[in-house]
Amino acid sequence: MSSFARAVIARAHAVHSLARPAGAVLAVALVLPPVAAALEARMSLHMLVQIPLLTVAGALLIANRHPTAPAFDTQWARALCGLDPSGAAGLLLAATIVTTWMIPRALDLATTQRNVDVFKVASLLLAGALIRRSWRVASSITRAFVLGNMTWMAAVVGLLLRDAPVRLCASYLESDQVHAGTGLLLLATGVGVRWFASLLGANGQEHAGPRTALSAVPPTDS
Amino acid sequence: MSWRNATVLVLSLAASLLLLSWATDGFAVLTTDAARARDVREEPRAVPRVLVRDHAGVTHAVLDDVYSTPETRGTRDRANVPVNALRPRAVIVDFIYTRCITLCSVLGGTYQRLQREILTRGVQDKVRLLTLSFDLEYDDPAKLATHARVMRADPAVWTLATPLHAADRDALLETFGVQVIADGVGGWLHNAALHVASPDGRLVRIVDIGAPEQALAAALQSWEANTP
Repeated sequence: MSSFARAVIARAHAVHSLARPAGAVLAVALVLPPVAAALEARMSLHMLVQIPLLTVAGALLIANRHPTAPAFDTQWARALCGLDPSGAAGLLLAATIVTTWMIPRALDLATTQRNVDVFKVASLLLAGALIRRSWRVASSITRAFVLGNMTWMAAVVGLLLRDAPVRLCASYLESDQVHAGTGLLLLATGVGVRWFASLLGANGQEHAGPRTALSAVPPTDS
Repeated sequence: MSWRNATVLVLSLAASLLLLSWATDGFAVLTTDAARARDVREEPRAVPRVLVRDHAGVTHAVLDDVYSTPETRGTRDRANVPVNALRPRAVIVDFIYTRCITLCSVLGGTYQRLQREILTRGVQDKVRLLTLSFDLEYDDPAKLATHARVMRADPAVWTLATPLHAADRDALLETFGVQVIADGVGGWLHNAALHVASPDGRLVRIVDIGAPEQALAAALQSWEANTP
């Protein structure tokens, strides 16, 4: 193995060993009362910053400690994987959770009722974790189905928010609703394009990605 | 696929349906406004009997129909009027603040049309209008009286009032499901609607501001339903 490859792997290890702490820090930072209040003060920040970041935090929290681990380096994660080998159950629930927090009434409840907000945080962390675990094992057809539907739906919700003649959230201003709609449309388009580009970049490999290339090296810490 | 994997998939599906059903109140609504209208329709709410001061300076419990006697109805000087001798009327309630220059003026126009309709149809013995201000600091009886004049409110039909205490106001907003938020330019925004309360003081229907005829029909219906 060349020294360059070793350096690349060492760097990947360093980044991976930081993923879980980073997820924890992100999750804690997001639920700090002043941060949560600031992010929930505007519909656009609530929908486009807080909710996506909570999902990312959930995904980071269950990141592999080691980049070379085949897929799952903890026992419970392997057990979970055995329960849902196709990833379909995990992706279905995760997609539903993300969809739920695009419903105006759910956003209103989260801003006005503390227990709903706690539920929102927990459900989005779970969604992030589910997405990370399930995406890896999902077939390209399942991936295409879930991502295609989600980006399409989010884009349509974005258009609806932009064009709605009335305020849909009792907690938010109409101008903010338009901003949130524009942002959601851009976010959905961005995710869709990014995914499509990764498909082209994968060059026909079924589960392509840098981790697959590294997985030839045996895991050391699991 | 093993039975275990199938079970997990079914559980995931069930959890997903449960979650969406919770968020949409049983796949019925997407917005808070639709949810409260549905809640009230299915289960009318008792309105707390908090004190308000109206635009004639009279203090009374919020939904008390103090001007339903023939002697007091239509008079402009209404201090010390006796509490009604006749049957109380159904009432259509809206929330405003008089400094508002946006949605409240739309509501004001709707109320003027409703007032005209009530008088034209001669149902002022059955239905009345009540406008509640949530701006306790500014909207005193004098301000309300000015607003009533500007709006050409007929005292036989239309009363304007402000709750006496902030806690009472909040209780009213909570019961009616009205959420008031700062609009960022010194004013407030709130979900505006026409709230129909029965003569016995229960919130029975919430109607979109674009459908005053529905509110009037619901009010008349609730008056008939309360016939002794």
